Amino acid sequence: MKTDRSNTEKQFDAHASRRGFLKNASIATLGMILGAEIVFGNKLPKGLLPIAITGDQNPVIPGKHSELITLNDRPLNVETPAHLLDPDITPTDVFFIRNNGLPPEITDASSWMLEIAGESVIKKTSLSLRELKSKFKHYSYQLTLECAGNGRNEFDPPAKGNQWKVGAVGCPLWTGVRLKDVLNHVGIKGDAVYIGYYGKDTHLSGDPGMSPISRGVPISKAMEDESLIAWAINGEDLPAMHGYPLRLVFGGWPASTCGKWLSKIVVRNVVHDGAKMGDYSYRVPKRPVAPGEMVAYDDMKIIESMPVKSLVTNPKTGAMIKKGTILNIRGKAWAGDNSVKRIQVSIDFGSTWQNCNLKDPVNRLAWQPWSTRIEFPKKGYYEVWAKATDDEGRSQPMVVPGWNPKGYLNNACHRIAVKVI
Amino acid sequence: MNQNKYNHDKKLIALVVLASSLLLVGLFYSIYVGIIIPSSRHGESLGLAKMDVQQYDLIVDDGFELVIQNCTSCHSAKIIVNNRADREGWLTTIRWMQQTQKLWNLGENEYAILNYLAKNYGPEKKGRRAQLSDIEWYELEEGN
Repeated sequence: MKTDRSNTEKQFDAHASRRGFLKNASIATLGMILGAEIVFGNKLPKGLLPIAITGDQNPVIPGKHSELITLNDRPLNVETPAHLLDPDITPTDVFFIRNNGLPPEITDASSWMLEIAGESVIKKTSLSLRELKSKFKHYSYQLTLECAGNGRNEFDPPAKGNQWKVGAVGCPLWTGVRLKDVLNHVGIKGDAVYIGYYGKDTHLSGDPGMSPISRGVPISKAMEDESLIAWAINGEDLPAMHGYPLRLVFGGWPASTCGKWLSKIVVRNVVHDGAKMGDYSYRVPKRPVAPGEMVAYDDMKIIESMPVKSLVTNPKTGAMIKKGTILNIRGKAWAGDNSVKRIQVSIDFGSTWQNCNLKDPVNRLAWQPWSTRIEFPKKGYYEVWAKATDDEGRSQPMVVPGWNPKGYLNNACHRIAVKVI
Repeated sequence: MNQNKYNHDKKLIALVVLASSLLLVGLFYSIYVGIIIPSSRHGESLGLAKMDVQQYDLIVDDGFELVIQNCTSCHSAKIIVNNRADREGWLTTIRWMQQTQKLWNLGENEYAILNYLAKNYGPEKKGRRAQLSDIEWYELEEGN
């Protein structure tokens, strides 16, 4: 073990020094080293070297934990190993990243404006960041954000897109103003049905006329107390990767509804039709379908509240314990707009289940920490499976749930491996 | 005798020059490899010393260069490597990128690109639930 660790450290040091040297090089120099122009090199986040140069499977992302798993480096899509989600409030450096386009480079947010427009606002209005902070009451909530495609890697036939495993989820503390306070201040018409967002990120193609993503939520979700226009995560300004200086946060819904680098909100009298609202994106079949079945567009519906789900966050998978050790098992459970009413674990591949201690959420739409202690009956290989049940009686399936063309909403039980020696 | 010594010296000088140039080449090569292409052995057989640096984890096979040229100027090779689809599935993805993401018409290259993708990144049967894999075992002390 010790030798392995020091080897890893040595490798890390070697990589780190190479990075240190290269970090000081300009994009043009990096291009010369590569022997090719770095396309959109000017859009690379500061301090992040192209994977091409580091040669690393896992580039180090500024401000992020080195154990995060990079699924895609352009745009950045980065997930969290389950054991790093053990703190009740997700630390910013482990919170997952799902970018659709390239983040803007913003050094000075003092002139940032948020426009409220659309056919269902009474008067189109622009608010500066300062006005937003001074005119409206501030609220802080812990809100669970999960990518709708979290767990996609388990679908068969495979669904295209980022092959998320389990870690495209987190529950940090968000601070901002209520979206409803802002909408009420501007005034919305009786025919409003949806809000949509626009951000300052740019499309991967570099076309300034194209929006990488512009989604939204029905007006009923927008008007909830916990729906925020946020500028802070865990008490600090949003990092660039997470939407600096302003973003939307809708707990319990696909995190793609939580527009980053937020510059405009439109109040619509129809379902918002921005980028990734149509085209099968964030949609699932209205009825159960067979694996691999072709589903007509009209038979698809927009994903709203996310399903009940849980993670085992302690121990990290792969633990070897001595016979007689009582293992502390901890995790988190969440259920979209609902709450979790029961969490159980099984160490015998689902034949028997034992109830765990489950905390209430600190506020609506926050995940719920749970824990239990287990003594394993004899030496051998075990899997700890966790199964949450929501307040409407819906539980997590032990196998991968209903197949859908884009591989969303996999809420199958999380499993970790344990050996008793 | 003198002539012989002269010849001998010439040989010696030539040898020294040759050895030092080899050393220099070796030195530059190791800097080059060490700094910028730590894991790109793949491409050398195709004479892609520099190009493949960018795509170090793509499988080198017929169509590799076309994939680099046509796919990775907009997105990372990682998104290809992490996905699996049959020929029809990859074609659907290409059409989607053409309709919504400004991917150009691939013309006659489309056939070779699809061959490459379907062969190297075709679907794997996973069933309804896969075994837990890639477990890194570690000893956990009491009082965890």
